Amino acid sequence: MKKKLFILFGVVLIFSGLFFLFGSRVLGVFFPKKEYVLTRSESSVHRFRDSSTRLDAIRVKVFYAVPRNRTGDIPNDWKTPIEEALRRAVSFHSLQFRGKSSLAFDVYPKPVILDEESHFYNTDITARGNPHALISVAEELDRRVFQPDGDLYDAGFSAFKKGEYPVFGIIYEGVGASGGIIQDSPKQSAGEVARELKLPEFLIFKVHVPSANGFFILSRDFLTDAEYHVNSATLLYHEFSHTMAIPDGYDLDTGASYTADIMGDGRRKPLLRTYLSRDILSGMGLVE
Amino acid sequence: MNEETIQPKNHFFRVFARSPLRNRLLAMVLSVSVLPLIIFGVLALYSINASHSYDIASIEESVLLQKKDEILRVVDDIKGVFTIDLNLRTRSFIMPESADCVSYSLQNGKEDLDGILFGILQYHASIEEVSLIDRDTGREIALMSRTQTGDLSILLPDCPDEKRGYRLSNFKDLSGLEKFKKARTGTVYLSDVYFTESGPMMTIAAPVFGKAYDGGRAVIVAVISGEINLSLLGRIISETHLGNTGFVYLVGHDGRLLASSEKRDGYYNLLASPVVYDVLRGNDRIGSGGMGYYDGTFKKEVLASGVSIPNLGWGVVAEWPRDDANSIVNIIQNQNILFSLVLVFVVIVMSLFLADRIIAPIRKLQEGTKRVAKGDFGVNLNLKTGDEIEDLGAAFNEMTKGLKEYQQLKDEFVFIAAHELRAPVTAIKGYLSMIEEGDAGELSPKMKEYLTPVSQSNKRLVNLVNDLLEVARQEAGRMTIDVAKIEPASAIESTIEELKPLAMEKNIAITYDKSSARAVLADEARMKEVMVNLLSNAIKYTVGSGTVLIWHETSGETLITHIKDTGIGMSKESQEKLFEKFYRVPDERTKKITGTGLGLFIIKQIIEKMNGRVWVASEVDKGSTFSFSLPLAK
Repeated sequence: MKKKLFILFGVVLIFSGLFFLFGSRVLGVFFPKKEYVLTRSESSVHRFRDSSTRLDAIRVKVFYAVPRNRTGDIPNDWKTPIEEALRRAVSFHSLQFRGKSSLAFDVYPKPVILDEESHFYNTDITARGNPHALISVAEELDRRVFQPDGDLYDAGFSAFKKGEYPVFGIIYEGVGASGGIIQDSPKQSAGEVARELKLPEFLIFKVHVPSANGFFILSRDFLTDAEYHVNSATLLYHEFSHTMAIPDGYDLDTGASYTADIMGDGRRKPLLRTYLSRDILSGMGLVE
Repeated sequence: MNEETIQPKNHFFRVFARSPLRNRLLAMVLSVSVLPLIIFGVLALYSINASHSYDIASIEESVLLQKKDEILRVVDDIKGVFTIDLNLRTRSFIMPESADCVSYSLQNGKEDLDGILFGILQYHASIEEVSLIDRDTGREIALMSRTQTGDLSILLPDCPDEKRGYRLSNFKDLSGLEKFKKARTGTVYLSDVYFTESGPMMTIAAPVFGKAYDGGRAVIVAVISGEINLSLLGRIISETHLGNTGFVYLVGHDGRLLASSEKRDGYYNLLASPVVYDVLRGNDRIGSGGMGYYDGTFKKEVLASGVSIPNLGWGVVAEWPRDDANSIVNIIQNQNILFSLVLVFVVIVMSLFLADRIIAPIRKLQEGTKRVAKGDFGVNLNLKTGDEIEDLGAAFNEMTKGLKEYQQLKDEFVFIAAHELRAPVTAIKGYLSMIEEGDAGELSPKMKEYLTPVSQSNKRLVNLVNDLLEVARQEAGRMTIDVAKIEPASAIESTIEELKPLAMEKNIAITYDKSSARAVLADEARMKEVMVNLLSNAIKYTVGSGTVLIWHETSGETLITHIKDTGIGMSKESQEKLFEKFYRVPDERTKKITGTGLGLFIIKQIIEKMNGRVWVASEVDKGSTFSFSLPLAK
């Protein structure tokens, strides 16, 4: 009888001990049941509305391009404001794309003295940011720096790593503020391309810049003149944005803004307080 | 029941089997104390867990509602600043001067507008930029910005001097922006949160009302717009903590993290969290019923609650890692367990101690009673328990005292009676002997026939008196033992010679191996007395013919003498009582063998007086071996 009592007592003790030790888990009924966490898609940043061109890593080859008759206007410290603006652009890019796309730049070590005088690049029409200068300067740079037979060819500088999206950035000693993408097309005319892309024809140009997928031009004045000290870096990034196929958010003719971000009204604000809109970011594959 | 005969099968229980009463007491005390302790512990654990869950939910709810109020106060405060109701009659802040030139309509021109904007900027540090947009043209007619350098940017008039105005085309055209379109209709506009390097920001735009010229409803004169830095909300959130690792965060309407009480590097979207998901759909998750449990983005296994911020579509969420939230419960539980284990241990030890305290005097009584049963009346128990057991001990001592006195009286009586009887029975023996020898004349056959039983009865009486006298002497302490170095072989050989006729009568062969005999310390006469008794018993209790073997062996410092017979033997029960007074083995075959039952008791006393020991090993019908030991003489 006593043996049974001892066994019973031992069992009660063991169970009570176990209950004490693990009771809170058993009594987890007082706490809510575990819920599942939803699965979200991963971001894959690409050109605006063009998922075939990834923008995981963008590298900008930046040149200070000076027409041969404007060499006297080259400031002593031409490089610092360019690099400063580019650094700020890199930081802005990282924030806006949540780290899903990286931006890097290399500045050509010397000002590139262009073959022609300024009137060749500017022509009489510098409206809409002087795209003619952008194209002619970009073509010249590609020929002289990136082709092996170019007089300024530099194998190290002209190389892009595998997977990098190549961009030319031109800081121009003259009038300029435009940018765009470079895309192969079997079409023969700008009009045909414009119709295919449903864009105004004045936005389509025929170019020969095989070393880049995008290019932009910005007058050096925007980076150094006091008038633009508030939004110089903003303007640089605004033009750079076009190399990712991001369109303007304002009317090119009237200047009226229809977006508040850096592509519209925000282009006038300091880079510290502007942004890329969610519509653009989602159009570039960023999952919020 | 003899305690030594209890042999539980399981060794574990043998430890406790020696005191059933103690075990019963122990079990009772443990049942009364430990079981309630266990029940209380279970109930305590139950209630702690039940109330703890509620407490966690309550704490989170309280924190969240407080943060929600603070955030709404800030937002409403800012919205209030942008609610401008001018107490003046005007339809617009600008008026056309020519096709492209305008001037400001207020008395002090643009200064007045700048003053309004400046006041707004100064009111709240979160307002980074404020501007006025003309209602009709959508042009930004005044702007003030809190830049990094603190400069305020202003426009300069640039119309020809004679027009004294500003070129309309130089004012930014914001007519296409959503903020203008919405505010122009009379609704306050709040944009999505956008992320800048200054922190998360949002745009607010509201109509500016002025008095109607006709005294009717207020008219919208312009749209006022501001850029608000939401870092202040971050500061509200950052001052919040739950326990050691719990935290609170603010999410935008799409799940983007706007602020967190813990520093977070990088960008996060928390829409995947179930509580965030529900809250952003307007379903508050607060209270015991709303609290959620899941693997959070920042920490595993969190208990989370959330509330939505109305009008903004934001959410404030609290996540408290479960381990941290339950740490206090775990501490209490562990303390509870430790305390309970210690208490159980103490109860068990105290119970054992208490039971032993109760049992100990009872054991003494038990031991004393056993000794009394064996004839030891000198027992005196000293029980100091202060209760009935002490009274029982005192009564026991009185009893043993009485028994001892009685024994002494009895011993004295036996001694006197035996002593007084000895002379007459010896005289009777003497005279009977002379009559049998013919000293009183020739006996007729009839006379011999009558005298024989008388002679035998007298012989038995003489033996009885002698044995009683011997026992009485021993018990009175009058038995004399003269221990000296002796050779046991000679005493044994003389005993054999003396009893040879008796053995030959029954055809019993006595063999003595004295090769191992050695000198011992003993009283030779007494030793012979012992040998006579043992050898005569060996002969008497052998039915028919048989053998008796005597030999020695040395064991340590003693010489053992064995006497082995081929007699009737005896049972185990008889062996245990063999050396008691008056005990005779109950056997039909030995009923006719005369004896007082005192012989073995006497020889046991004698051997023990000589610092020896006597014992027996026997088996029914197979004979017995009596052995005794005596100390070797050095």
